[in-house]
Amino acid sequence: MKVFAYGIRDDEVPALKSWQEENPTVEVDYTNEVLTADTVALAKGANSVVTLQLDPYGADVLEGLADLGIKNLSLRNVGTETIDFEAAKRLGFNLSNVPVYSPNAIAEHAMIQLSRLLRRTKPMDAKVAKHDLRWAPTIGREVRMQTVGVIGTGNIGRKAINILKGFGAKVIAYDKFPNKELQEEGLYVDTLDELFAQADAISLHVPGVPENVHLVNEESLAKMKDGVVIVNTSRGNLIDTDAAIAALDSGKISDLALDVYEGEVGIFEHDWSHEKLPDEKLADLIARDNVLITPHVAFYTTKAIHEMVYQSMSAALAFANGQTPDNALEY
Amino acid sequence: MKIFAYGIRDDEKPALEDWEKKNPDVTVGYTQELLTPETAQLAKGSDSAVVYQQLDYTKESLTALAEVGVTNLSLRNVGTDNIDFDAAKELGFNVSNVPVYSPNAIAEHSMIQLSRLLRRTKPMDAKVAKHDLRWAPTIGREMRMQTVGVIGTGNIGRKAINILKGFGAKVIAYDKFPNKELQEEGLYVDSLDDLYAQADAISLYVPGVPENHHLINKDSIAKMKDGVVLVNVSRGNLMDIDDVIDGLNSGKISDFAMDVYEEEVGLFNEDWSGKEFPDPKIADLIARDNVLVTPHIAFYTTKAVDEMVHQSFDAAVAFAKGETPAIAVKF
Repeated sequence: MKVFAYGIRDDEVPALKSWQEENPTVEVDYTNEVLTADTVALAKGANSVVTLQLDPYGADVLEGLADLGIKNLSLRNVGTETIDFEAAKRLGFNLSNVPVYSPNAIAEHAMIQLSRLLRRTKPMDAKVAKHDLRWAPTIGREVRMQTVGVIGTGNIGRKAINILKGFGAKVIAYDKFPNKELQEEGLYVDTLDELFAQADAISLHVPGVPENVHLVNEESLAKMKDGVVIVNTSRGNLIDTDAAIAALDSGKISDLALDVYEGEVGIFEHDWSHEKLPDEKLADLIARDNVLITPHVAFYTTKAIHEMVYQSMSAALAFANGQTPDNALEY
Repeated sequence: MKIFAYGIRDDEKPALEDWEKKNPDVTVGYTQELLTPETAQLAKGSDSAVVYQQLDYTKESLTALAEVGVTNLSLRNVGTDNIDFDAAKELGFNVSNVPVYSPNAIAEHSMIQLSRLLRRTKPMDAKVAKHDLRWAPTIGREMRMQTVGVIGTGNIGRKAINILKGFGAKVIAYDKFPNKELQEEGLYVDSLDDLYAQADAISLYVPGVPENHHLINKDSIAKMKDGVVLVNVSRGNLMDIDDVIDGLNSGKISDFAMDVYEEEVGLFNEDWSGKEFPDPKIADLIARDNVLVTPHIAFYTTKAVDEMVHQSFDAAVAFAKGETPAIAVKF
């Protein structure tokens, strides 16, 4: 029994080694390279491959694997848009992904960024870095004094709510499909408009589906409190960037944290430090004292990586054993 | 009735105006200037003075104040070490301080800093600032995956524990005088050594009394887990900073956040930008990617400032009426 993993980064190696130790009868081999028509040969002799990459899984790649007798493909991430499903079906592939790495990772990042914005850590740290050690006037706001509106109460939103409760903040929530327990606690408001009217701070935990596109726009911003603090670690298209920038300029938005951005593809995950960042709006946001930008890192914790490796490797093993893992994709 | 306040900063004005509205019978005068023998004149005609300064309340200042008929002194902060109590006694002063501004402010700061260290926000933000938008290899650790040792379970420690519970972290605590509720929850370990052995991260909430002097030193650090994360927002003398620096250099201490420092008087709350920084150890710590230094600002939130103003002014009114407020200082 052999599993071959592509695109293994240094930060994944500990989890991979640990999985290997727990599965001593399985031969595990891996490469840093991603799976392409050129690297398919590396998987020879394996029963299953495990991958994580932006590069597409085209027909040529899948055919290459099939030629080697490999028809089990387990992704370490959630996104499956780059798989040629037609080819996969034709060739009889078993596919799996990892839908949930760690809701905590994302919820923690959202709440850490929120608390940092309230606390004004960015200007305070900047002062300290240049040896200005005066505390005034960089005064903070306590999380517990805020009414925080959580839009979306799925896995991640619920973890965020727990964190907010720990701080003692007042929590109000909105979700098209309310969660029974939260409903019993009386946390929901009936409409987004109500949430906008009451929230000192808002954190988004909804998917980027068409109906949610530009949820935060000029119109919804006008319904929010003056000086609202907004955090988005969900999908870039939830916020109309131009409207957000205008609101920052007017002071309607007091502070903003983004881990996602509508134009992020081709911009995030790249080192622009030696060239001009091609997105000027983003460069402007990065430079602002009251804005925190992170390049889609909310997921990126040791626990999440552990889950991505473990769940995908276990799925690969299951497929090799002729079983159907929970993470198998129906297509 | 008239109250005169010294050292009023801009960030205190909202709270001051709020208090004035709630106490329309009281005339309030104030200045930005600190209380000195010269400025004591400004309080002439007042019943009580409200103050906040690191400058000493000398015999001369107190005498000058008494000479214009004011012998009620209400501090807006907790520290009373800079009062000449002999002179105050001789002149028949009533003195009050504000022992508790907002335990939440301090607890929040410590937990925000801890979560930031775990998340590696300092190097991540530095990358983003120079437009390196790659997430690898700046991987974070989740709060909920940590065992956090809380040393000291008074007001502030207990708030910190609530925040940790919100994150889902495992909490272990130590206190010479255990809290009954926390005891029933089974959160305490029996000894500091137990705590050191089990904790992935440690945060201090004990006073800087002689028995706690250099609690964190070479010996205690050696008992801690490799890669321990330390946070100190309590008193500078709880840590032997040289031993902490050695721990950072060896990697024994993975990350460190300090809001207090044994030699902070004269160093913190000054603007050294553009000048020679007098403490090379601190300059070195400020520059490290895995160290967060803040200049004694844990308290500094709008809520805390609100409490400092409200409580001190209320005490000033009580003294003026011949009453003894709960926060009167016995000396």
